[in-house]
Amino acid sequence: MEKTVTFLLVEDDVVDAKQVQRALHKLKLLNPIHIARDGVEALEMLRGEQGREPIRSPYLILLDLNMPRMNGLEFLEAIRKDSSLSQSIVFVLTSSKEERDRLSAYHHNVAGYIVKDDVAREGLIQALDMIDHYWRVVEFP
Amino acid sequence: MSMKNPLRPDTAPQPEPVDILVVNDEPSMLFAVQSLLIDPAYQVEGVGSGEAALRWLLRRDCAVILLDINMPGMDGFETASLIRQRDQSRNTPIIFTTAYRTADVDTAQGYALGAVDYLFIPIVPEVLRSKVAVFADLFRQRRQLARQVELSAANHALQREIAQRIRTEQELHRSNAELEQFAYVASHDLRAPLRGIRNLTGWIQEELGALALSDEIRENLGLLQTRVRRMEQLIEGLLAYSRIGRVHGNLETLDSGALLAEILDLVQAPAGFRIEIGERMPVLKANRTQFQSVLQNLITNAVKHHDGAMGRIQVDAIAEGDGYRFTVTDDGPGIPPQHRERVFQMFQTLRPWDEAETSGMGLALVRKAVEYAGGTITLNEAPGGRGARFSFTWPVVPESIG
Repeated sequence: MEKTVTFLLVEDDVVDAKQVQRALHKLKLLNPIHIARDGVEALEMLRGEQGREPIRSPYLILLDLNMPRMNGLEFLEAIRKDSSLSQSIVFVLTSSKEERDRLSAYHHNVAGYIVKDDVAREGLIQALDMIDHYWRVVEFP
Repeated sequence: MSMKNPLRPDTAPQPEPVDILVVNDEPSMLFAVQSLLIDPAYQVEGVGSGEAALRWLLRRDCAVILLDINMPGMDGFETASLIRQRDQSRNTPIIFTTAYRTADVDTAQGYALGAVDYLFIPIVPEVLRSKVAVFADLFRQRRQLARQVELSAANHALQREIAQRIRTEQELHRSNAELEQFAYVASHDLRAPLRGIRNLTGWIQEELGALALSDEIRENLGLLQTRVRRMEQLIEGLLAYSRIGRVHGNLETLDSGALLAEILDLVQAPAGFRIEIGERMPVLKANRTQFQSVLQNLITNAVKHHDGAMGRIQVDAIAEGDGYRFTVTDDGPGIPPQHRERVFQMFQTLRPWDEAETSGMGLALVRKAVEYAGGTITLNEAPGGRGARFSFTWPVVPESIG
């Protein structure tokens, strides 16, 4: 795999975002990581709007669900409709197993779920470790 | 009230008999009229005076009054006038009977007093019977009508009540849905900042780990962490507690023995503990989430509150009444009688919660779930003197409800 995968973290909570960054740091993952505070900002980043450089493939999206302006589900709808973004790999960050269960009705082809609230605090780290192996092994579109 | 006519046993049951009042001071006349009116459709009452008639009419209603005009004391006309003055007998048909087939009889007066007819003595049996029959029929019809009106009114009242109950039920559903939404959002929004605090204190601890911190700082950070954890437990406990009775889960057929094996996996008791499950654990229909949480809580409690490194917990069940009785017995320190009610209350613990690491919600939840399922739970000393025994009943759900 020649190219390094870019992470796009879509998360409005500062502390939750820090949690992801620290976990990546602990795993010694040096991938570039961009942070968007909500779905609108995330789309701007992906499309290169508002004077930004668009995020280039290969990238992987870590998506929180509860955000202002455009929440996680609305974001998923938007990228599925956009042919240039519909193939994005998305991992959803949920704050509870319950919330995760509630999503089962949404067929948005998410690649997986990470529960933030994991009592075993290493849970996030293990999930990111899995993602790390995922992008090393899987062909990105 | 309808009876078969003993004289004509092959016929259909007779209608409810109507009352007929005969008023005549001469016993032979009374007897004659009564005999002429023998019929299962009639209940004939004979009295010998106007006063007696009035007394009878105080208690009863009748289809027609056969009233003799010539009576000593109060005659027929006077009696009729008094009968007409009473609300309940104002419209009762009166047939005057009189021996005088002469113009002396003041028929006009009789009719003015509300008589509907006259019968002249000697009485022609067919005439008597046919006149009485007319009024008997009329009375029966009016009685039937009155009953139908009553029935119709009762019906309407019932329908109004049903409509009211449906409305109440709908309101309840809506209110429950709102409550569920509220509980979910509240717990979700409360947990988010808690998670943040937990993370931040953890990171601070990590960052400061290498430095020489005062014991005080370390201790305070530790206390911070446990308090955050406690809040998280409380929120979860409250949410679960509020759900019982509000969220109607489906009833499933559960093998309690298999379920207990799963629970043992989840509980992860320390090495020295032995948890024994009875031999014949029943299969029953119950809400899985609640039934499981009851057993899981009781077993977890027994392990957590044990004061030794080795413990023995027994779970058993017997059929009782129309359901089963489950017991969870431990050989721990037991619970003194004065606390046995208190432990079931919300947020109650017997040790400072810092030590016990529980939310205090477990038993409150257990009791609520058991009672919602229709059972009862009691706490006693374990047989053998040491430890506690929790015993609860779980009624079997009748097929039609599940």
